[in-house]
Amino acid sequence: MQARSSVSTVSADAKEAMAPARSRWSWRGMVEDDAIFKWLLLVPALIFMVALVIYPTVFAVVTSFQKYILPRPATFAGLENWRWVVNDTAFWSAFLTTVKFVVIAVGVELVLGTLIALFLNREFRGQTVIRGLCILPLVAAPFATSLAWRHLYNSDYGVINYVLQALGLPRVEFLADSSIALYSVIAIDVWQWTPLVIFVVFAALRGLPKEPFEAAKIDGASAWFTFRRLTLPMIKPVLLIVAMLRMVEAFRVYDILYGTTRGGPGTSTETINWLIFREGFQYFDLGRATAMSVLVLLIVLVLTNLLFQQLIKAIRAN
Amino acid sequence: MARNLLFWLGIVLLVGACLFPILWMLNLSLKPNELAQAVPPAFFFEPTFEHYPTAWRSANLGPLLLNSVIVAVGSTILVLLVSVPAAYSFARYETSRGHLLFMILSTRMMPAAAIVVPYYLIFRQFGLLNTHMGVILAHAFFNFSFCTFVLYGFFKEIDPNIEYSAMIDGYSRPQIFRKIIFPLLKPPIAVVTSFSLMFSWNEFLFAFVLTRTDASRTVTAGIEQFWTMTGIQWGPMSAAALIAIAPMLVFSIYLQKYIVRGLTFGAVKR
Repeated sequence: MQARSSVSTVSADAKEAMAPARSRWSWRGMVEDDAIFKWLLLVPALIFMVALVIYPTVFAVVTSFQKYILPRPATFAGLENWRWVVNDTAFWSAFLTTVKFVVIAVGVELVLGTLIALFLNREFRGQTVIRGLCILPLVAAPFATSLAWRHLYNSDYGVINYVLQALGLPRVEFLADSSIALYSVIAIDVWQWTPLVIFVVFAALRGLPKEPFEAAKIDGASAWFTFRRLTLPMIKPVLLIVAMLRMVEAFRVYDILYGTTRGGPGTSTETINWLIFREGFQYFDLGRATAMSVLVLLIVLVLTNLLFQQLIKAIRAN
Repeated sequence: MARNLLFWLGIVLLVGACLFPILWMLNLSLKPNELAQAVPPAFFFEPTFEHYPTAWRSANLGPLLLNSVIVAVGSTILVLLVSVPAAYSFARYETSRGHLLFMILSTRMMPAAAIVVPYYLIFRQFGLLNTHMGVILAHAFFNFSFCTFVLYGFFKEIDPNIEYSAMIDGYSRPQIFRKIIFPLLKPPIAVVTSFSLMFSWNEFLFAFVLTRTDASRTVTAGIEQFWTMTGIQWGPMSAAALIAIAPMLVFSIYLQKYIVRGLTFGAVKR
């Protein structure tokens, strides 16, 4: 121990001796000294993290142990909120709805997006313009477009039902039927986010080496075989990254629910996000709302950590 | 030939599906009130332009648009000030060996709902509700991890030897930044700025919850007011919604270059 510390002192001294004759703790010296400079650069980020991430999280944890219903002041409540949330069937059913939403929406987006990217992967006239038009669902505010969807979905005057009827198909209560509403909302998410998958996979396809595909063609491999054995393995890392990003984003779906079903009919489209919002900003029960928040945070952190490890493993294996 | 025809049929379907809801918004915004809920839906009609001025006046769209600009620009500047130095530190010095970077990245995974309630309470305490600063901070929080990570990827690609040789040539640190790093920074800054602006413009939950008045509410959250007890005013609401998304639709022409890199955290490069 003694020896080690003396060695490090020596090397520090040596560094100091080599450095220009400037005081290490002067402003100038701090900027030029790597060991200090690298932390100096992080000062704003650290302040930011403490103020906007760590403090709110601690605050949420503390509040979750309080009985806090606005406008009354908070009082300590022990585990009461936690007991309530863990035993609340609405919470767990909202959790299931959220998982269903995330899995179906992201699954459909990945498959559909990959297919369309493969379809677009060739040279044709006006390709830039057409790709430019496909971006539009991505850049338009989801809340605004969900309102148009609400009109399209309407069972009386909506365009989709009009088309269904013209084709001789039965009328569908897209947003009013509790067994269908969730899928209708998922369809909006799919409309909005499939272009992202298209663009990313498209970029990946354009970056693939040509030789293996030419060889496969010469060998007379079928299109399906080429896709399964060549294309898919090569774009797999990219697909995993998009899947991960989309899952995180889909988990926080809110805007399009507000624009269309508002959690209904019944509780059929109530996601966790929606439930917390309702508890916090309609019932003003902030103790319960924060208990839910913290629980969701824990669940998401565990899930994303697992996903992250899978992702890193898959990318390494490639 | 038949194959070609099929291809173009596919393209028409694809573009149609992408555009239809937006075009329908345009259709609704030009439709006279009595046709808004007509059965069967009216595709062609004598257009009226009355909904635009109505929406503009009744929803206070001018101030709301200004709020959107202030919030988007403010949060973007704030996030750049924080994440550019941080990303540089992570990329060049491996500061904290990636732990801190991972921590920052994982804030992206925090579900919005889990932080909206504590944010509301804290901002209430500090008098930040109904202020631009409140929304700016919330949006900056969201963009922080994204910007830091994308910039980190770019900085990693800059060869540190350029800096070392400049240092040997007697450049001071500020000079190296001014003369070498900043010029190289233009493309990554363009990417993160574009996406930060777009995110902030389109964000709804925080802009809605943290504001109760038009004083700092953004235009995206402001469309909500057409949803009254008596029903939805389709004409004015569609007009307002279209005004709200128009800047981003135009912006997308510029954004197209960056979309892959931006939306995948820089993980997928072109």
